[in-house]
Amino acid sequence: MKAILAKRVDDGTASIDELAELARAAGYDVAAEVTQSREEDAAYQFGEGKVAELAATVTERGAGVVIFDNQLGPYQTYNLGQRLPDGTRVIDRFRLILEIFGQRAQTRKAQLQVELAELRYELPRVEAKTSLAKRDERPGFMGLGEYDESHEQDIKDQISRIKDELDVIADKEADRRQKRRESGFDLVALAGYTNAGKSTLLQRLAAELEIGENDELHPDLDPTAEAEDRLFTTLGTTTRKADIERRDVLVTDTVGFISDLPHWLVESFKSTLDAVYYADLVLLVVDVSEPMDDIREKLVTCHDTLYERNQAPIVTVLNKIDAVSDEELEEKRRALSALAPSPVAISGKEGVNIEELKRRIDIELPAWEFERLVMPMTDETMSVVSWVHDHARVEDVTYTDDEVVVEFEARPSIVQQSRSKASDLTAAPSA
Amino acid sequence: MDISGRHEEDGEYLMVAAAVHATVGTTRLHSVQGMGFAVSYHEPTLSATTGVVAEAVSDPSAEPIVAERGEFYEEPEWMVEQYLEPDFKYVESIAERETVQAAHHAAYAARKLLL
Repeated sequence: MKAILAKRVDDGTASIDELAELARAAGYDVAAEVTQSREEDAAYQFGEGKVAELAATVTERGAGVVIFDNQLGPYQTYNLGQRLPDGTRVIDRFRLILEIFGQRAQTRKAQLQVELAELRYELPRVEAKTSLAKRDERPGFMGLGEYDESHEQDIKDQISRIKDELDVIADKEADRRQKRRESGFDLVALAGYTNAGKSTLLQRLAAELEIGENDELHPDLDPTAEAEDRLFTTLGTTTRKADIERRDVLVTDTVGFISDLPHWLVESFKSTLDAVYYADLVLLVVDVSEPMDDIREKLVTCHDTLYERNQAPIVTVLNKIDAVSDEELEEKRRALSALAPSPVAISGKEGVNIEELKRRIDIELPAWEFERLVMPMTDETMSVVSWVHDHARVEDVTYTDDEVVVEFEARPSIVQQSRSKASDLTAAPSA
Repeated sequence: MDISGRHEEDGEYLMVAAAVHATVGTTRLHSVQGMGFAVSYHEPTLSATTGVVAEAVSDPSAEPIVAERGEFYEEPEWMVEQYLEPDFKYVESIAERETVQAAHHAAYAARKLLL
């Protein structure tokens, strides 16, 4: 379907590149662009003259949809619809993003999140219709006001039902994260603006998928992360195992960030973003081949999105260095020094500097502790030794007639657990 | 930096600005070198808000001054810089936000003490 793109800015020149990419990602054919630099018109977003120009462009190009980069209020959407040729859909950037999400949502969770976001988008519009209807209320059988109010209540009920179901999913995922930590895994999340190259980097970092004996703990592990040069290729999360130096790491690829998303939309994808918020380390991936102003703006968007809830340290990864010269890379590093004090520059596509990134991940993850456990030889001792082998990096095991000494390195929480298991053995009667 | 008290109370204004001089990383405030406070009884115009901030920044070597976007009515950075001596920018990184948050608590607490 042909689409006309529209954007208003208060002053300066309106850039429509990202909206055009989003429109293409949703499957629209961009037929024309109409932009305006002026204060917002409360009734139409554009000024009336520009609305007439927009209507003429729709007719001339045979477009079926007009996509605004600006957020449209319910009344603006209605008013624009009245002025455009019959049958022309009017949507804004958020509606467009929801359409893309709707097309890409594969899992139950992604579908629920999209549905929730759509309902949250719809609710104020239905409330507006209700308030319009109430001005002209016709009470009684099938009265418009009553019908609309029930529709509003319907939406609220659906929102509440979906939130409950998503909460259950979020709880399961929190349990899974906890189990993985207890299994000795460090959790690394890939975050960043949409199309920064996160999925390609995941493929580069991930080992062949071998979860082995812990299979039942990881039913969601997917052997492939889709990577394509388009926005929002990844909508759910993909987790894969990676060997980073001495550690067992699970790397999670997640949905890309995008600027100016309203709070309710980010909130709808809360459980997907939890993978980032509750990781042990976040790799913030940036496409360094883009113009400096775009990089800065996108990094600020990422920091905005992460600010409220992120708990992990962040390492900024300057990706796609294969597309820039050494001089340009150095210049960009300097310009970004406040936002990204010590970034790692890599190429996910070409595999450049991946080893350096792995070293950096090892340094930034929670420090491992060295432990030397001395355990009495009981019927249960060998199962503790086996557990330590599964959850830590064992350096040496020494057996004597009545003792076993295990020397190993592990996460602090694993060391704590091993001590507790060892003290249980001490309390047990000797064989 | 952050300003507390842009609103009128009983026909009077009491704006308190707090400046936190800190070194930061990407996500963490590393260390606080010092803090400065200043008070203004004027209406919160751009000139008055920048004035009280400039006064609170006691260390001229502390650059850039960083504030939330709404602090100076979303005026462009170059315009705010006309009023302030040192370089100025709006918050970008998580660490800068954390530091502004610290300044916010300091300004709010100082104003409560003065009332």
